[in-house]
Amino acid sequence: MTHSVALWQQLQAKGLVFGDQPIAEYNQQPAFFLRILLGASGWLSALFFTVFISTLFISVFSEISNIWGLGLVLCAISIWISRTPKIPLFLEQFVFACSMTGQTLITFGVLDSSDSSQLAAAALLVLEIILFISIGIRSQRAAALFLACGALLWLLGQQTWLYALPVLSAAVIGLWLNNLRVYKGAAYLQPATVGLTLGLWVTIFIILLANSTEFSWWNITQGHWHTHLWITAALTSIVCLGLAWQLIRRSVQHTQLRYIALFISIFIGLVNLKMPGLAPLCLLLCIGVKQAHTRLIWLNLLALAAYFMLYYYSLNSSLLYKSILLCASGAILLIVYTLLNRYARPLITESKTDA
Amino acid sequence: MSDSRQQILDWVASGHLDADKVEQALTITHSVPSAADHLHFLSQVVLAFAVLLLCSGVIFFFAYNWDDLSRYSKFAIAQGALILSLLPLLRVNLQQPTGQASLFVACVLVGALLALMGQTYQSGADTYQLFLVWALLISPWVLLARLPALWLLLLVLLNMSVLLALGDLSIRHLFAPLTHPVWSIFALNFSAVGLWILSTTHLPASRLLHWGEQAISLYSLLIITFLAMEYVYSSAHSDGLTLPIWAGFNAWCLYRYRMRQLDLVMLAALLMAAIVLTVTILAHALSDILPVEILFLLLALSVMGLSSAGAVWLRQLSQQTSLPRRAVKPGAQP
Repeated sequence: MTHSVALWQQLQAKGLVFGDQPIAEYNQQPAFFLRILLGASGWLSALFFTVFISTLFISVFSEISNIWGLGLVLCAISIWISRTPKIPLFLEQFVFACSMTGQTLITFGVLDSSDSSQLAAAALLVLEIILFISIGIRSQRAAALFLACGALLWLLGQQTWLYALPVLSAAVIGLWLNNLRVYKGAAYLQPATVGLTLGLWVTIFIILLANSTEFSWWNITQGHWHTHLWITAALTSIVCLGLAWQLIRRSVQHTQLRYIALFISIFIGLVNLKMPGLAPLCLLLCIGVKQAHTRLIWLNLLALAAYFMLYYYSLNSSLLYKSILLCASGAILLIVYTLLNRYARPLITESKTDA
Repeated sequence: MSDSRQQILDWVASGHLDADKVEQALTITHSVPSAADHLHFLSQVVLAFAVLLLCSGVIFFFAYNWDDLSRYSKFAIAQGALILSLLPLLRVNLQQPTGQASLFVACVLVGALLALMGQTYQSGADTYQLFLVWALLISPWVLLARLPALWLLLLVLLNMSVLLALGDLSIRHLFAPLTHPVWSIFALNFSAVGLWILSTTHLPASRLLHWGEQAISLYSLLIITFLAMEYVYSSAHSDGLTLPIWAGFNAWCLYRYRMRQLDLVMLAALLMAAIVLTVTILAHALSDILPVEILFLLLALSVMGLSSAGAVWLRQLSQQTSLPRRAVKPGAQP
């Protein structure tokens, strides 16, 4: 008996499914290693293709102000090809290169002809949303939404872009929390979740870098930067606390553990005021663990490790202060470990007895 | 567990399972970990971060330019911290996470103690010697404990040592026919892959061991591909064996990860390295012959073609391996 047959029987015995097991269709979504290979080579070919189209355009027409028109044509072609059923991989790669070239040319054309960067950002945002809705390939929907996040930050402009953090946190965590309930709409929701998650990670790291003294030459942190940052951090904490409570209510049944989880959430929410972006990363890690989503877990762990490294490295304080802060953080985590271990042991024993 | 989860989600997506019942289905089929598993994993993560933060804290403490502390006090603190980190091992063994964390902290603190010695006595030693002595001192613990995390720490220290030695000793060339200094780092990591495979053959398979091997192999692949690209673009063709060695290393990886033990992640990385090197060779060879537009079109098409062909091959391999588990007889009676 195969694995899926046994699984179907189990669900049938509990009355969750009826009838014969459906014939397995080949999963359209490629495996992770394939997505990495296709993604990396896709960006590389898009780069070469953009250079090819641009140099060809310049050599034919000496004028470049109308280059956005060519971009529109390329995007339209990529949408049209992508909607072909059972599209071969080579064409998928071509569609990606074509659409990326189109997007670059449109953005460049608008930027060149209007002299307004906000207009270019708005045009890019609208274009990405259109691409997300109309393109027929999932991975490219994710890329479109990721680029839309970048366009949104650009559009919001100096300092206001910080407010994208609570908005993105709410959207990403909300999607991850509810993606199982609305899995029927996976064709759009999955790429949306991936694209927005990537956007959130990038936003967090841009904030961290912008706040760092190492990058003070960026001159981003002028004016009311600290006030905006504090409000952003507070809003993110509130959003994350609300969503963490939703997660705790759904997945923690043990009363004492529920209190501990709530206490830890409030603590992380408070720490988030000094370390903006920490709370969404921690919450995403917990959601990954809850859903047994290996990639979400490991990517968040990597993001957290990078976050800590960058944060402590760029703190503008003496090594002694940093040392005290690091040791105190480590000691707090050790206390949390002891608490978790203390309550996990009876649960593990309980689950072993049940088994 | 993740296969069951994906299968259930596929049934939801195809409308055979009600979306409202998905969480119930996942729980019934044990496709998601239990609450105890969640807690266990999270506590491991918290412990790992606690260890890293504490180690960094101690290192920063000694890096601070202390004027008020006498050298004896500094040594007492460093040695006290080292002894303190080893104390839990009196009560717990190395199979437990706390024991493993203690030994890892102790290994890191040996480095802090060595750095303090160098700082206090101004021994005149170059920095590479610090990492080398550190690696040598912790080697017995690493050999006895047989923990993948410690093996990786030892390899990182040796890599740091070689990298710094190349700079400190101003080594610009090695010996012909492999003169590029980076060959020494490749040799170190390739030997480490070999040793890792040899020493883990009889150990029970675990995810950490597998990832360790993948990490070192990927790093070696990165170095050799960098060397090959550098060779293609360098004007002095002194390292004539670079491309044959690159091909040999890739053939070995292909044998290892295709024939001996199928690893699609490693095969995808090999394909990516081959694509990048092919593009480099094409760009270098044709840049003077073809007009720039045609050259870039050719490069774009080559990348698309090679990656698509590679992906089709990997997809076939993946289907072949998952067929026995995924095969479904139409109309099979439950």
